[in-house]
Amino acid sequence: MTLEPLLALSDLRIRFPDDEGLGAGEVVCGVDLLIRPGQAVALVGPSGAGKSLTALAILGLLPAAATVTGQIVWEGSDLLAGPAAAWRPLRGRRIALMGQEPATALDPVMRVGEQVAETVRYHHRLDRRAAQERMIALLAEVCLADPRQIARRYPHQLSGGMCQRVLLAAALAGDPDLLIADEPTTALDVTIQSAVLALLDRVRRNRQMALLYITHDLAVVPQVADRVAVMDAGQVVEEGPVVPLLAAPQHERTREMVAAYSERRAAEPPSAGESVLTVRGLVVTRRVGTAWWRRQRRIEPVADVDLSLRAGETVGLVGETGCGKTTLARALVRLLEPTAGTLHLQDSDLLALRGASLRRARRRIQMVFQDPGGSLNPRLKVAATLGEAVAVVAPRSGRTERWRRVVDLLAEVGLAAEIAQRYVHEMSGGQRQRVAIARALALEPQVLIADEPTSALDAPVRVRLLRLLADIQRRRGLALLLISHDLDLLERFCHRIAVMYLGRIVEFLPVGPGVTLPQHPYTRALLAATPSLAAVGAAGPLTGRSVRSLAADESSRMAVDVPLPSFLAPPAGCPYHPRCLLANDACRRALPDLVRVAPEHDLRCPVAAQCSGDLVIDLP
Amino acid sequence: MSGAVANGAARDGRPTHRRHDRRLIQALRRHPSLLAGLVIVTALAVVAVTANLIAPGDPAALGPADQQLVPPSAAHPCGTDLLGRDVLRRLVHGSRVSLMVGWVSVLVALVLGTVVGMTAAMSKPFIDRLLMGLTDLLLAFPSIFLVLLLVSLTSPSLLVVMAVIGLTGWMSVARLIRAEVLSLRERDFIAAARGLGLAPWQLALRHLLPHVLPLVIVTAMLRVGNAILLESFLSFLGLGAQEPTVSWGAMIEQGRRHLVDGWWLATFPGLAIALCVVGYNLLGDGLREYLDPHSRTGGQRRDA
Repeated sequence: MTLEPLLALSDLRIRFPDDEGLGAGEVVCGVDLLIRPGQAVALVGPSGAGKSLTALAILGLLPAAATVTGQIVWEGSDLLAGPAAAWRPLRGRRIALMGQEPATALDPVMRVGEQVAETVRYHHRLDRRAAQERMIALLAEVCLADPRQIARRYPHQLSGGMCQRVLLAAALAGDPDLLIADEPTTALDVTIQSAVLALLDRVRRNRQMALLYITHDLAVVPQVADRVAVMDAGQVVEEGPVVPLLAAPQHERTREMVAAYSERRAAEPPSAGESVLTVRGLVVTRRVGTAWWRRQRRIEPVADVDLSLRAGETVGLVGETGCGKTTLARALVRLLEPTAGTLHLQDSDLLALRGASLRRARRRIQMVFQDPGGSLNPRLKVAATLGEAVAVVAPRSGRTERWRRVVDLLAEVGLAAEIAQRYVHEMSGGQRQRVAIARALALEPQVLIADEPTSALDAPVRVRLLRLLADIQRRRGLALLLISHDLDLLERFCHRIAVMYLGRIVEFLPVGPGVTLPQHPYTRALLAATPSLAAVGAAGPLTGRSVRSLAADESSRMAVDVPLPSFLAPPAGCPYHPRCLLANDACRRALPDLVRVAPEHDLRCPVAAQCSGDLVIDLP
Repeated sequence: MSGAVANGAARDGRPTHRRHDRRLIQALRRHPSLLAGLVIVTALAVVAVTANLIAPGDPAALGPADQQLVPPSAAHPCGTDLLGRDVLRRLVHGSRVSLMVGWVSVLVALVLGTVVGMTAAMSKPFIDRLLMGLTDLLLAFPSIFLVLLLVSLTSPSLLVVMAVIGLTGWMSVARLIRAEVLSLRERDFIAAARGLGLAPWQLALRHLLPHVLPLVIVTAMLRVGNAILLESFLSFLGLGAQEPTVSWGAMIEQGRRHLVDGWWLATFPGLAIALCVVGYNLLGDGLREYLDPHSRTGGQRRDA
């Protein structure tokens, strides 16, 4: 490419004064970056690397306290050298920004069409009617079916994916030459994320617009960008074309990040012993609409779930947001009361216990929560948090004994004893989650339920934590239920995976060499949508395979323009049928049973069972 | 229990109190109302505690006959009353009554309100509804009438006043605490503590109470001023402190008949009450700003 660069950053430095609450000192230290017209560049790095600050600096939107030095050259002229007003004609018109949280970026009291039209009117000086037409065209461009009708809605009436499309339309309103997208899909489910990413890519190519895509997730990079710049601690450590760079990373931090997407736990056969935790026909009912004048409605976030965990086994539970994963987890540890079904921990019936005997039984089945910042008491130091858990098991122990136990627990989760004196807000996300795990381990549980323990963490930290969990599991022979929305992650660390859809398990399949492929259309759609580094040869066995064989497969696609599943109006028959491209009349009428199609492989889809019962993974 | 562990570990931890001091100083600079309230309230407390030192002598003892109803002068900065008693000395001693009534009655209301509120929030819906129904019922009576009714049923004394103000003030505290505990109950760390197998009382004392305490303290400060006003009002009506006990409210009542020929009699106690109430309100407001977690900076940085 010999085009003149559109934007060139050279030696960009951002510094905050020391008494400011934000991380003081130099936070961006010497960033060089080149974006040519029509080029898509991904800026990747862990939280706090300075990615978003760099983006804000390009737009001249940093807080006044920040000192910016270096050069931001836009089409040959240095913006930092000129007056601050030089930015104004660029913002929105030439450089547009698409933010991270669709829910808060839109004004909740304004119709979404109006918000897009406002931007159009401002940038193009059009009258009301012309702006309206332009707005409708923009909404259509971002693939919103029936744009006239969508334009009249308020943000709360749209799903997260639709909000993100509206934001894209608003960003496109000024026909920018460069679109800066700051983690636009972080808050979305993988299925919706993949649709938004595909849309972004198509729009960019059609408009020949340059794109700066900011993300912490390396796996989405091959999907959206031609070039990638890896950022760490305020510096770009490596930059180059996507595929060669990811296939052969040079810098240590890049290597670490790529490794985080390919590391797998050693494939050991799950011990075929008796199950520790047995769940049969578990149902959790919740009442919604508590106003007394309204008819109360019952929903079933967990409907008829069967599950079993063996000692030393990791079972993954995957599904989209709101499919009932967390409700199931909480019912298993009896933070919620199940309405029906049985729950056995070895021989004891957990649902029959009450009061003090229940409190004693709780020790044997522990839970690690999604948000470690919320699950640790902010007013207690780590020592007190862990000491409390130790005291539950050994109420008569003395203080030195307890302290020794706390230090042991911290060591087991890879933390130094000094951490004991910290409060929650003085620790990083990874440290907090380790403390939460240590608290669970203090009770010597037989079953550990981890509810999205890594979803708040960066990829390398995430993998380190999962490695730790796997180590602990091997050492203690724990049964581990790992809940996540990331199928790629689960299949690298689990022995079996249960796929949940609208409160029901739709497929329960084993992972590993020589086992059957996923067959449920929903599982296949999830696999196809899950971002992974398979393109550069780094992925789990299923996702690695999915790119080659599933992408072209009709059954792995999902109908997009259907309302998202809701517990309030569950579809009749198979819950997945409205989004399923294989669905027939029988699917719409009756709920299929979960039947065994192969050893350890259960499937709730008669259609898929007939099509391809013989696919076997042939990886080593 | 595990606090012991924390102490045992303090050997290798660095001291944190210095940082707390710095934060407090910073907070005082940032919230002037906190500083003003703290100064006024501390000054009044010092005056009340050292009343016998800074204004020795019996405030009720009659003065010399030629010293009756003397206007403010160097010898008597606030003048003297009909019986020749120094108004300033009476003011100083009267502060003890005001403060005691304020604090004791608020303490009664807070303890009752916290216990009822927490019990309601942590109990089964039936008990919750019962307790809150009772609270709402009592809240439906205008509190002034309730206080007047209760006080006039018994012989007037300070003890009765304190008890009555406390017993009629706990309802709003209970509602506040219940609401706070209800929202706390949904937080993950409470679920996590339940998952450990802690008993309800352990949950309440170790995990819930420390979180509602700031709210309790702020409410307490705001209510102390209110209670002092109520006590003055009762004493003004002659239903509170009785002679020879000095009370600001009673002093105003005595001065009421001499507004023209003895303006200082009602003015200075009135100013004292105003100062006291303003002081506690400023302190309460300042504490609310200071303790409000939303206004606090620091903590972990968000993703850049």
